[in-house]
Amino acid sequence: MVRFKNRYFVLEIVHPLHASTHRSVQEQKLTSQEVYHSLKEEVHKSHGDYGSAAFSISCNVKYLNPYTNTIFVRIRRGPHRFLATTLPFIKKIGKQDNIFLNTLYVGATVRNCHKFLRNHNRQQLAVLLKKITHPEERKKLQTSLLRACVLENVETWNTQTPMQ
Amino acid sequence: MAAFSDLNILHMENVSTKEKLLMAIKLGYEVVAINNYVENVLVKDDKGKSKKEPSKVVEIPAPVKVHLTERDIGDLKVKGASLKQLSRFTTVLSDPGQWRRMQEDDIQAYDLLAVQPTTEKLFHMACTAIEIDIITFNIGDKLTYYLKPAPVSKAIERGVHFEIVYSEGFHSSSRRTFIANALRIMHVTHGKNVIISSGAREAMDVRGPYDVANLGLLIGLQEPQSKDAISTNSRACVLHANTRHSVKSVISVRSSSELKAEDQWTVEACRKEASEESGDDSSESAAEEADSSFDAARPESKRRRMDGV
Repeated sequence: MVRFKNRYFVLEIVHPLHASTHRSVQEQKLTSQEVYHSLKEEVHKSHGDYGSAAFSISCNVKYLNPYTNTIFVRIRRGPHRFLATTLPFIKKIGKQDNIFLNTLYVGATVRNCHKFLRNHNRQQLAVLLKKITHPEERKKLQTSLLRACVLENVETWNTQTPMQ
Repeated sequence: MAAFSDLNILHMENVSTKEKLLMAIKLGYEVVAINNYVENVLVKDDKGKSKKEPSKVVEIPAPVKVHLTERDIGDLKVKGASLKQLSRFTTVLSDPGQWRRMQEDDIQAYDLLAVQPTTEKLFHMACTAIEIDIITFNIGDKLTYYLKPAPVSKAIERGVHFEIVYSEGFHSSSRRTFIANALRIMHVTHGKNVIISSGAREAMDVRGPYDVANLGLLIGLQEPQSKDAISTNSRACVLHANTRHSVKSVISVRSSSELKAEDQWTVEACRKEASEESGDDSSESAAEEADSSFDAARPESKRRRMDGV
């Protein structure tokens, strides 16, 4: 029996840098339907009827996280090339304008993607800690990190002075 | 694998270059070249003057370097990487005389030199004769000349790279021309010596390295070639540019003040050695001696040419 192969795209919605902090989660609420339709429309633009047909029989949006702006998209191996080559052209999803999608990872199973995402998010916390200068917010993040991580790792962060 | 690089972040008057850089950093680029685009390095007076009249000198902007704090490059630091900023100069090549202007110091101060030839003859010249690193195309408009395989293979041999600017393809009007032109370049180079870069006019025109590699698949590159186009080829291009600032790609001269603190002792050591040899402790005469011995080692023909200059 030949295995039915899939590809899972882990995508990040990137907003303009200066605007990202001002948007609330409610404002940028997305449904997986919206994501699916804007992807399909764009595949149709680049690859025509054949592309969008191949796309529609095998694609669905598996996971959507409005807090971290992450999407999982499943598609069959083969037609995934149609999707991959279309992704750079996407500028709009649903009502959200002026965005683009950044491919973080392409995996063969959901399990792998989750594993990747866990590590990725953990890394993003370190990035955040580097960027936050406001002492109160910094403290907040540190305490929440403390709850999430092993103590030894956090102690070194605590001793670091906030960056200017 | 070599680090991801974007060798074309367009520096513009009214758009913040820093914002584009920050976006590139966020997406994981480690080598970034800030591009100064000057349409014409020679400006001729239109008012009926003869062609022999010396053309006006165009002011060339100095290479741009954006100051970034530790916090700005936090995304790279977390991965244990760092950012390398390069400067790049691009001009439209519409007259063979422009090359003479480009050899002057203010343009040679840039790390990378790129030209955009307008005719087949000039494309041939750019591929085979002049010392540049990147040949670029106005990829949003239809190419007006045919890309011949012979000069292209010569360019590949010389290590000159061909650039595909992807941000042009994001405007729906020019997407077809972008793909058509990119396919033409791909057809004649077979994916060798091709670099893909953003040419971003605004921060939202930059795409992540994996997306750019996917774009390479669309225009007919194989998967490994596509990844090379944003990593290995770009690095080769930067190395090719470095050789321009050195003698026969082997010897280069730097100011001793640029040395790291732990290497400063080498300057003292060299000075001491030279003064012992000549029996004179002034470092100037030692430098002169080194110069003349270097001159003696050079072949006759070259020496004469240098004297003439």
